[in-house]
Amino acid sequence: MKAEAVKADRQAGISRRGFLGLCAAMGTGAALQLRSFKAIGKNNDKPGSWSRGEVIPSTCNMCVNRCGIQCHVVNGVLEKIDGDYHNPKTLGGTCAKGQAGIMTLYDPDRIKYPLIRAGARGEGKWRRASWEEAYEYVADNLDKIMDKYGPEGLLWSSSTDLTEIFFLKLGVFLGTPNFARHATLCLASRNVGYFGTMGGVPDSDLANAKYIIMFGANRLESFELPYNRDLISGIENGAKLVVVDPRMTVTAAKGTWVPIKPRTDMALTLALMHVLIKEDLYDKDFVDKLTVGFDALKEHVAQYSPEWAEKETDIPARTIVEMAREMAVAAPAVVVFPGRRSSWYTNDTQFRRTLPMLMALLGAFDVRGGNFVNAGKVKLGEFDWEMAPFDVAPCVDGFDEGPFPLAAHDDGGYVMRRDAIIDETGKYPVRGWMIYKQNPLAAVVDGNRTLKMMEKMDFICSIDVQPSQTAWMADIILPETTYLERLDPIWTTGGKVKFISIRQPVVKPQGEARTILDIIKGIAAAMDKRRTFDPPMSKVFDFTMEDYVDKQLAPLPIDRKTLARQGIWMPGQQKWKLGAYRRGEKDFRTPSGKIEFVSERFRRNGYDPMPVYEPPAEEAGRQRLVTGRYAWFTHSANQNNRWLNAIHPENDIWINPDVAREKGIKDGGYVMVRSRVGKVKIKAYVTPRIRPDTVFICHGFGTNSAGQTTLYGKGGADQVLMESKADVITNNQALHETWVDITKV
Amino acid sequence: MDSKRLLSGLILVAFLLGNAGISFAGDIKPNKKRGQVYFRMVCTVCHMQQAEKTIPPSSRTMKQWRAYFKADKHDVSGTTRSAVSYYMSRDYRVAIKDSNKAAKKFLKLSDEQINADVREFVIKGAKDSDTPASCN
Repeated sequence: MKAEAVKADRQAGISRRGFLGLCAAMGTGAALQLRSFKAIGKNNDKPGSWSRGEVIPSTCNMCVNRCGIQCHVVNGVLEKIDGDYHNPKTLGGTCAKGQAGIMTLYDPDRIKYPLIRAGARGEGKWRRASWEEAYEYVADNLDKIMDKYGPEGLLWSSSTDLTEIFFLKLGVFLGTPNFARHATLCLASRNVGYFGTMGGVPDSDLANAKYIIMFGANRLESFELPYNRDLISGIENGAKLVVVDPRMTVTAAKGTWVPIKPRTDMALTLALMHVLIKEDLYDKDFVDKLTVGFDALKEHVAQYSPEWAEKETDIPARTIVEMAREMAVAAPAVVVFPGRRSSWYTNDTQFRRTLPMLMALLGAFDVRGGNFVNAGKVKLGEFDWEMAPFDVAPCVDGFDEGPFPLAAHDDGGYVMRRDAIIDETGKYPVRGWMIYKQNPLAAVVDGNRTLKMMEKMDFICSIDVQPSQTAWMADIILPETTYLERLDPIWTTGGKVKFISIRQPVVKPQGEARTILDIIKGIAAAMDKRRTFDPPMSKVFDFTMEDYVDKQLAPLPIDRKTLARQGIWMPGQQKWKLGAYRRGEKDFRTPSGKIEFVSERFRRNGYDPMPVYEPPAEEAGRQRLVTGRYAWFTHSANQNNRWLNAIHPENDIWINPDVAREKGIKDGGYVMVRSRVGKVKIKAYVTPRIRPDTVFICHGFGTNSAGQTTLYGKGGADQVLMESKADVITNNQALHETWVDITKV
Repeated sequence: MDSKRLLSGLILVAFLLGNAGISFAGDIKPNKKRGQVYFRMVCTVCHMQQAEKTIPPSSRTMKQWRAYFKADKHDVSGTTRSAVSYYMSRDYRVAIKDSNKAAKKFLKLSDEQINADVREFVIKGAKDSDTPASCN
């Protein structure tokens, strides 16, 4: 395997050591120093930084942010990935993950052929199959389950990406109502909290802000390039960055770290509003014109004084008052950052409501340096899909019928759905699981419970590029092409600038990997042999990706070939405009048309219309577990990428020195971490960068897949420890609601 | 006498028809998903072709959509048929069935059913509705 790895390195045209050196030089792999961000841009401001080979523009897929890339291909081998300097999002920069896409492409662990399980699930015994056999195998199993349980006996899991539509459509046309998308693993509570308050989630003008407050958001390690650039520009322009987090992240290190007691963020936001109102520091004009319910808010937050909040949050009352006053001085050029992953606590949706409320008191919306609604997107042509069946069964768990009236019902609720399937408390049995671009065994709280759900399944199919933890437990793995080997649907995006970009093949597929559209076509044709569909499944998917893209581009003055040369296209006339809401030209998508301090949507659905704080439970002598990421990893997707793994081969648990001393734990030594649902052995990182009542584990390690040879046997899995809890309004999983015991090994 | 009988008969017929109508309308169960497909594949497609502008459900409040359907006026410019209900009628579906899959698929459904489906979809997705924003 080692020889194969070296060969892959050579094939990729750059050594691991060279890559690390490059990362260090560019500042992406090391400590993310402020100046290094500027260096990224400068190094790539001009073309030709890598002079060899053909340069093909495309769109990255190493995380969800879709930065523009330029791929340098020499004799059919991808040698180097740079940021695309034409792309307004990327401006020539790319992160460590973006550059290491080469090693995702040439990873010796990649699945290159269809594999059918030849031993027990998880045993790691596979036999290579032809694609024809694989399609028949999948269709046979789907057909059996549909015969016995109906199409509702199938669960369809996937995560958002450009190609997800084809996978979803197969499920829709087969007739299953049971989808489990990624929203309730990630951002559902943020979306609903903002929706209930102001009708949507606003963007943030970080570059022009004078004061930026982030609650737990770790932008500099989540690596969305425009945000990172703008955040660094904002800091350089004199903005004060305040990061409220029990852990001092890289982002917190670039500003003022406010080490809040976990699960008390709402106490802080309520107290900040208390000070703004009590000291008459809020924006009266904005509040009068663009909000409703101020009097009720004033009355509500009167009880939440800074002195009260100090006892809840461990943040001194004096600091809270200073924060409120500083924000008021900087207003309206204040960004109250909405964050993205909001799967923290069971009260997350109500906490998220308080962020736009704070923003509104500061008048920090629809203004330079504040939050804003982005410029919209380029409208693409619609694909002319066949008609899907309508008479489908209700969801297995009744998620679409009432328990979470404000949730996005089409996305499903992961924790609730899993419970219904395992405990058989649902409306019917679910016995087949199709999984695409998702690793639920790593992504969902209480991994052992996800294993139990797998035991309920008669059939599991994983479509993936690597033998992930979930794929390893499947009955069949279908190898998909990486983003560097395929054409995807066009991506359209907004922000301050709207444009479209293309993701296109830069090299030929490795082995026999196929695109998701081809895989879906194969399964569809095999299903047609077994059942009668109206229309036939083959007809539904009777088109090429080129056809699909051409349809998308039809209304625009650019064709596919031109876009393939340019990488991006943006309309000539576009201006980032502010002030429409303030001038009364636009209103908010709320029942009142204004920002609602008292949420009518929440009220009419039986929830507290005003965020009510409830103190967190305490567990003496134990630590609260929180999770997150480092800049070079995305979820559990690339810890096995050998270049990225070399930066951080093994995860560790962050422990405060006082706690470590008390328990006799040494930095670098191993500890056993136990929760109510699991235990993991993991290396200790003793650091004052975390509160004594909190421990942190970087997500994505502790794989059960021996097929991930770089990662296997390294680190501990956070999700194994996490209890099965979820936000009460959205069913968004709550990743930070677990207490653990730590003992020296 | 005859005229009185005739009048009574007419009142009875009107009453029965009215009741039948109410009863018929009451039997209709709106299907939001079907309404969504019809709206997107018939209404939106045509709006894009004719005016290059979509009219998303979120462009109006629930109250405004209810009023819109009650008023039953599609267009004031005079370039299209004036009744909203016409664009959900069987006549319209027959007219476009060869070029529109949704119109063809729903050809046999009653005018009232399609009307109820579309109405359900746009009201559930209205600006002030409870339909939340999804990830996409």
